[in-house]
Amino acid sequence: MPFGFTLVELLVVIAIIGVLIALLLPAVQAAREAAARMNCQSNMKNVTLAFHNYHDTHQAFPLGGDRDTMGTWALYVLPFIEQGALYSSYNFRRGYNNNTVDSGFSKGNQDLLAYLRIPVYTCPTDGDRKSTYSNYMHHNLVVCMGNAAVYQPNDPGTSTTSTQGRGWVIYGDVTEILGAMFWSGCRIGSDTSWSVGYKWVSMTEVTDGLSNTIALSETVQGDRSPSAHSAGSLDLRGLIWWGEGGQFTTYRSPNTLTADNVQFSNATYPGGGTMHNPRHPITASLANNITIMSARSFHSGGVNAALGDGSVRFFPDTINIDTWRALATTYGGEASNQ
Amino acid sequence: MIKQYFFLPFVCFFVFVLGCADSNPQNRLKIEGEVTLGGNPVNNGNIEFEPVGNQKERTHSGSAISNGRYSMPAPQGLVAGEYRVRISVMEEVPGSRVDNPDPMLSKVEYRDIAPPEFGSQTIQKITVETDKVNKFDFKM
Repeated sequence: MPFGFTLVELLVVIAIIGVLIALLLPAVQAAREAAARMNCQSNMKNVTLAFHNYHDTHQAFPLGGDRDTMGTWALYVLPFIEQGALYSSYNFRRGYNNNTVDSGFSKGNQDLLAYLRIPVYTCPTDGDRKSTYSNYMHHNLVVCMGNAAVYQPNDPGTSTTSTQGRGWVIYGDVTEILGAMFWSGCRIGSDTSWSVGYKWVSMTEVTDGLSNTIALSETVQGDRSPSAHSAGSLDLRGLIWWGEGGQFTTYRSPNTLTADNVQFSNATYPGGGTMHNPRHPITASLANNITIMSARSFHSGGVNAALGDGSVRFFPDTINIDTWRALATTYGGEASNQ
Repeated sequence: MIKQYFFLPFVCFFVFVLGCADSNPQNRLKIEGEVTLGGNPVNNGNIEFEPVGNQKERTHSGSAISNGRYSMPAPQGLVAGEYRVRISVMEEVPGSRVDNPDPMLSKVEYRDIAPPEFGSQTIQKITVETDKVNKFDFKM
């Protein structure tokens, strides 16, 4: 009798190998995701250290965001993440999107910066997406602006969105704003007569302790919209050069199924169809352009966040909401046991 | 005889592996329901639940509303207890749409048309209970 395998033997061997590979593949994917998550945490740590170096130079943490398109923390810390050349080529009298603000300057290549992928601002678990808006690059890292909402009111007496005012606003069940490590340029004064105020937070003001206050977390890079030029059809999450895009608040849990309220964005396309994947929904901003962006990620079951002392932790979606909100404040006096 | 049960170790192994995954340690519950405004299903909005009872686990959750429905699967749902409900309904302001090749110059205003007693000044409360279907409909 000649030596050989029967068909059944062969099939059994193939079936066993198939089962083994099926068992192995999720493990490989999990290992890849674990590596990407660690990479993300290391990026956060580096940026938080850049905040500390910025603090050494300027005696305060950077501004969270200037007015509208006029820059965010992501610009100010460039010299501290070895991107000094980019920083010095940037003209602070114009917006990142090259809009002429100061009449003495003509339009140039100001927005070159916004096309670049800056790896340290990126979470590798997320993709590599550009915005529908002018193909600007989307990133992931966002600073914490408290536990309620930020807003950009209309200019008094008009329906034109103000390029001047933005600040915090109490929203929902948050009854008192107890500070945050990052502030945005905001309106000071009455509705009819006001100026822009800035606040840079220094370490001594963080009385809750730097290890009890969130500096950074992450968001998802917004999807591209099929109708680029149709108003309100953008997903601008991850456009961190833009005032609203560079921040998040802890009003809602991480990775909530509640839609983020973001300017220029909407849940449905004008032509019909729902935007974005159901895990990270988005809709328009509320009255007075109230923006509420939650911490979001494609990691499984939570988000990474860097605390003010430079430590990075993984916060689960199931975190106690009081703890999560307390972690955002700088002088709430709450002790965090996280 | 042995041949008949050769698959048993495999079955045991798979059951063991499945048993490892407890994705819902807080015993959260699935929440779902329908939201209508003036009889029409809400197609663009949010519903949020803020813990107000004395439940030990204080979870905040919510969902986007689409086609008049919302739902949170159990791992992202709520633990049993009392919650305040806040609903927002986004509607395009008629005549506010300006489409421009530069999307940032495109403009469209949205407004929240949820009645105050459901929205900004909400008085709606629900009680989430174990051992029951947690379906909450809101007619505004």
